[in-house]
Amino acid sequence: MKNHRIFLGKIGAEKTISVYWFAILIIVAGVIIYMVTFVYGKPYDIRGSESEILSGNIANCLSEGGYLKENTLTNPSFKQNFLKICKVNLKTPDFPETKGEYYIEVNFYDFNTGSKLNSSTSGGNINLKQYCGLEGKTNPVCSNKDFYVIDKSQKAYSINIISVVNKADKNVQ
Amino acid sequence: MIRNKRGDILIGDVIFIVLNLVFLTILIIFVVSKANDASRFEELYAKQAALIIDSAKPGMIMHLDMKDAIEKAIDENQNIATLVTINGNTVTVKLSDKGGYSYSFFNDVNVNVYLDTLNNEQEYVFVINELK
Repeated sequence: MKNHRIFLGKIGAEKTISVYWFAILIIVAGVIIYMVTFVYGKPYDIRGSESEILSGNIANCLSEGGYLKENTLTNPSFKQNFLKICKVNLKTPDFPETKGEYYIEVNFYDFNTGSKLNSSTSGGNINLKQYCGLEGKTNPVCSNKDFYVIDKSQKAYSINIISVVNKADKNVQ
Repeated sequence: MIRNKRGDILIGDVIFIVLNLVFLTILIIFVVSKANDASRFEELYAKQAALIIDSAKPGMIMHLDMKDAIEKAIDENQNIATLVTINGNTVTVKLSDKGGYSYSFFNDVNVNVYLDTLNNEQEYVFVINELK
């Protein structure tokens, strides 16, 4: 009789445990589904790499071996056509509604005086520049590169390149 | 009486174990299907290809290992020779009938892309040329 009572108590306990067990399973499943969706549902954000490569390509276009390329500052059409000269295409057919997903700014300074030269130029969507320095993962990603070059007459220049990549729709959720 | 109760316990245990197994199986299928989702590979390789092209200079030949994507495309009965296409300055990777992911690159170059048939058909080759 004593054994029988213990036996019934065990059944009740097991039923209670099984209810809690399924509740735990549902919670575990919810957590796993959330984590998997979070990890695999998030797009790969490559805008940082893109903006660094863009700055690097522009820098390579302007200088070679530490020397400013010929006609960069003297050629009057450079300012208007620097995107074409540097072989940069800012069109983004994968963003049909956009007003521009890139912005590039090249500033030339006299190294000795620090004064900005007239050859400084820019291209792309200037509205993106205002987000540089702001926090927030949906903001455009900026890259700021500074370097020094000399021309053939040994005159030194400082060049600042700002490149901004938006493409938020395809890089952040 | 005791025998009947023992019978109830056995059936209850079996149902409990079966439900647990069903539950775990569904969970594993969900995780595996998410991990092997074709759209994830399409995005990954389209963006990798765009970065490769952006960082390339005319005259370069770049190889992109796409083993995972090619295996997925074979599972989806796709022609593995046409998984990667370039249209203007946009690279598209398509691994299934309903899928496809496009990403634009800014490097103004001419790109020829083809499947490397000499290397076990696991790599795509990007040939970078000056834009005419």
